[in-house]
Amino acid sequence: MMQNEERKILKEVCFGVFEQLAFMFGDELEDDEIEAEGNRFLQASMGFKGPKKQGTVEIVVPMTISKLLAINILGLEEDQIIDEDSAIDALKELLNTITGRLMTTLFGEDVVVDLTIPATEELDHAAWEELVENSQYLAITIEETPVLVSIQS
Amino acid sequence: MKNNWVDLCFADINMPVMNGIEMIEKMLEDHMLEKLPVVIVSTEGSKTRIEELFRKGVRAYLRKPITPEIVRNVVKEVLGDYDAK
Repeated sequence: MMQNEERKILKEVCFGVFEQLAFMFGDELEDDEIEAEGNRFLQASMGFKGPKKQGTVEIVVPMTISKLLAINILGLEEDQIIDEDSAIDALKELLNTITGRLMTTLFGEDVVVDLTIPATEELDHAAWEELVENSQYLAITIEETPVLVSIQS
Repeated sequence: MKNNWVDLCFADINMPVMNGIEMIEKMLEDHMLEKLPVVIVSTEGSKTRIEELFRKGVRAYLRKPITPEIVRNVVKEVLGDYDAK
């Protein structure tokens, strides 16, 4: 289970990266406030391996927000049609940036941590609900849309 | 890169097929590419790894997230004003 300090760092790093990379703002979210519509969710994960710790960082978002991510990160117009590959790439880039920031915040700048390439998987609503109930995942809200993040080692 | 004229190479460290450090090592072995300026754009924050990149000849390092202004400034710095217009 994530320690309180890890949860705090994860939350702060996520808010910072969403704001700087995607111009989207976040807030805290209580477990009983998590309500996500739709049946399509996107999970991105990437591994890290340092001298003392190794594990995985994950982010899970409703498909709708991944398209908004692509618009903001790629600088597209809101009325442009966003293909799913762009939405997936945007989420991977977001996770890559979050993980890079997390590594230096958690382990310092003198440690070399190897990262894997981000990978994504589509989830349905039932899988999303399972993750919501999983204490390994921290729920935040980005532009009023729930997002789950996790660091597991 | 061997088939196209390239003035400046932007690369990440964490890439599929070959990572950024391996790519630079390959470029250094090739007399056509050894002098091509490389700018690393990455989320990497390890001082040790960044120092290693500079030892291998990387001209600049940009940490993500970056802005168009940061990219423009580094292009001007590496290639000079004329090429950044």
